[in-house]
Amino acid sequence: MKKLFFFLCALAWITAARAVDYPYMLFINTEGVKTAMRVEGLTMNVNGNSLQVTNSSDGTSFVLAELATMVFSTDETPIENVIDGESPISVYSVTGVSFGQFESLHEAVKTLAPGSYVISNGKTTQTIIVQ
Amino acid sequence: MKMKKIFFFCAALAYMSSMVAQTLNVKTGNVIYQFPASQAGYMTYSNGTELTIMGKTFALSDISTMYVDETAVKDSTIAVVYSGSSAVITVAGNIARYVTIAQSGAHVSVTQADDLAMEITYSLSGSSTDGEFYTAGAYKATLELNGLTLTNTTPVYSGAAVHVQNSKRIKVKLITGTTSTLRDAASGSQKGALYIKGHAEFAQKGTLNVYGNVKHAIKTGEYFTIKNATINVLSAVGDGINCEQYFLMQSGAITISGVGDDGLQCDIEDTTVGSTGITTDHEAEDTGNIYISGGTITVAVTAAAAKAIKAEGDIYITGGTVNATTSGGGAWDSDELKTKASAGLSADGNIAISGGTLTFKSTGAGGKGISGDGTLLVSDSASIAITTSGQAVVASSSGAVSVVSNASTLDHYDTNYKSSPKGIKIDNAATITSGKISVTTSGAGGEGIEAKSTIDISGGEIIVNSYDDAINASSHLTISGGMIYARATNNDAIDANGNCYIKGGLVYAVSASSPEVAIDANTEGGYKLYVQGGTIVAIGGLESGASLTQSCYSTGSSSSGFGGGRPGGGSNSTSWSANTWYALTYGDTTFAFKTPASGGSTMVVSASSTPTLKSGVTPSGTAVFDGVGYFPASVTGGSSVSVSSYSGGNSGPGGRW
Repeated sequence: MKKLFFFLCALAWITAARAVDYPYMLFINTEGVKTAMRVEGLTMNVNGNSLQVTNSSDGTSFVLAELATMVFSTDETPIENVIDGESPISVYSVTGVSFGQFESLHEAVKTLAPGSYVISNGKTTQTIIVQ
Repeated sequence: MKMKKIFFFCAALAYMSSMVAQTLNVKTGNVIYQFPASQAGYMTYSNGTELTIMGKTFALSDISTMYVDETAVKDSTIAVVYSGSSAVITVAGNIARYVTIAQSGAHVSVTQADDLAMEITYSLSGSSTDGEFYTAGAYKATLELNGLTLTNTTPVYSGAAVHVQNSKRIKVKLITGTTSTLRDAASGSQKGALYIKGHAEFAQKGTLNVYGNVKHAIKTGEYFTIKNATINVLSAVGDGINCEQYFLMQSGAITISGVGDDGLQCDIEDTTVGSTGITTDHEAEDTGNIYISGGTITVAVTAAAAKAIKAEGDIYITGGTVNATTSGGGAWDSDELKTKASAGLSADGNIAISGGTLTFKSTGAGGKGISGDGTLLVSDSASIAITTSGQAVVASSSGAVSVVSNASTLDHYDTNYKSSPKGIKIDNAATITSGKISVTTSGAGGEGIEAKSTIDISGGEIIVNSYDDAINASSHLTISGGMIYARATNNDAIDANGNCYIKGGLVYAVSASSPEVAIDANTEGGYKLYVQGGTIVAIGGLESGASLTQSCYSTGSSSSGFGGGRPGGGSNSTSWSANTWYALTYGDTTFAFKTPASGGSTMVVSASSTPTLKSGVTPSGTAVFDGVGYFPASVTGGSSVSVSSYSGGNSGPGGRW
């Protein structure tokens, strides 16, 4: 019986580990600059030409005309640590097929079909989902 | 034990943690679009004016607010929660791009895009005294009524309370444990308080109450099926349920009352092409057929000439319970130039009943139990009880209708200008192989079972107490088995307008006094009664000129009165005693029967071997004919009744037809 309980517990933790949790919402502007906001209590309101964003501990605003995308993110470190405006990134499928190099993540997203991809700047690798 | 508790706690905690969902809610007016974080992907801003998420583009000026919470989103679902003069609509993100939502107060419209290729579930709940739900699209859908109370007072998109314009399969789930109520607007062009243009499949164990204020309560443009659900039609100007293609009930309950026309009506959809005939699994079937295999249907209709259950095609009943009452009188049909009357069960095609418990009561003038333009087949475990208590209805050349309670007066009217309160009226052949049929009629022209063609009885138990002929065939009538009790108070008991063949079975027939006979054939037309077998008791005698292959015996002449005396009074004496138990014994078999209060003067008996007859017996055994007989029977006491050879008797007019 004890072995069964160990097994069930392990199975539950494994299942929990597989469930994706997105602690952050990343806001990416047209220049590729990323701003991460924690999603707890995240609220966004359009106020004239700006987007007011607040969460349970912080707040900021973005000029709507300068906003490009926003995306839920699992990373504690904002993606700008991987991608910078001067470094090209390489894009691969999850099975390793190359989709080429792009000047920035933003440029890559504009051309990629919906799906999951692996991106790398040669030093760090991440997985993204293009919708 | 302590370790076990810790392990359980850890397992539960892990599972609970794994179930947290993150959802981006985008609110525009009263509509909330819910995008699961795991599906949202990159959400694109355009020119500072638009935001596109999962293919759905929002004008930023339309967005009230956006927020992230832990709402679990069920894909492909739109939930509408009505609350007074408004409604809140939530749309799952994966279908957001495929729907266009319009709203005016509590009036909600959802239009599906033509490229939608997944089934949407519309979950409706809450209440409003002035609201509606309208949806249009080209893909099948599911409608969940989850405790919805909706009245459409001032229509915006449709006069119906719920209108599904999709010509596809619509699953209507009455959520178990809930009661929903729908009322349409008081005026308008809506065809039903609940209108579904496509085919509706009602399921789950919830309850739906419907009030139809303009036409039908529920109208479907294609087939209607029901399983488990409870549907109550509480009022309708037109029919309670009006559908097309076919109606199929497997289980559940339908109750219909307060309607201005028929209770349940099923028509052929494509009247240009006509019936497709029955198809395998009803695939693409358009027959106007009604199929009942389980559940309970209770229908009460009151309008003149209304039908409780009406099919433009056939009716097949293999199980379930049907209770139908009609109280309306007759009506003149100026299109068909015929007098019409109410009926519990009515089919333009054939009727086949092989199971179920069916009870029909008609009280209005001309009202019938079962009326069919095709054939009738009763078999297997069918149980049918019919009572008609109205008089006949007639129409004048101007079309005005009136009630006639005198049978002789009724005879003066042409067939198209009268309608009689018959138990069963079939325009083609009737075949009874098994089951139980009980028919009681008491009005002028009220035949028990009438077929405009042949009647074949080979099994079952048939009990008829009728005003007019108990069993009448416009052509040949054959009894080869079964148990038949046929008593007519004003005409022949068993009457064939062609030949009449008694080949087997148990037949107890009682006619009115002469010139009526217990068993009649159309000798005037050159036809004949053939007695070839069976166990027969015929009070009222047999038609003259009969061919008696099996010997028959009578208890005495019509004027002698011996063998039992007469009940007293009147100009016709009888050779039998009224209200007395008799025993007819042949070989080791005894049939005990109770004589009626009145009937034809001569008692004729016949059996497979020379019978003996006793009167005044005390019977026991297997009760038949609702207690009027025992078969097989055991008897004690009684006195022997002398019988003499019988070769035929009355040659009356053979009754009315």
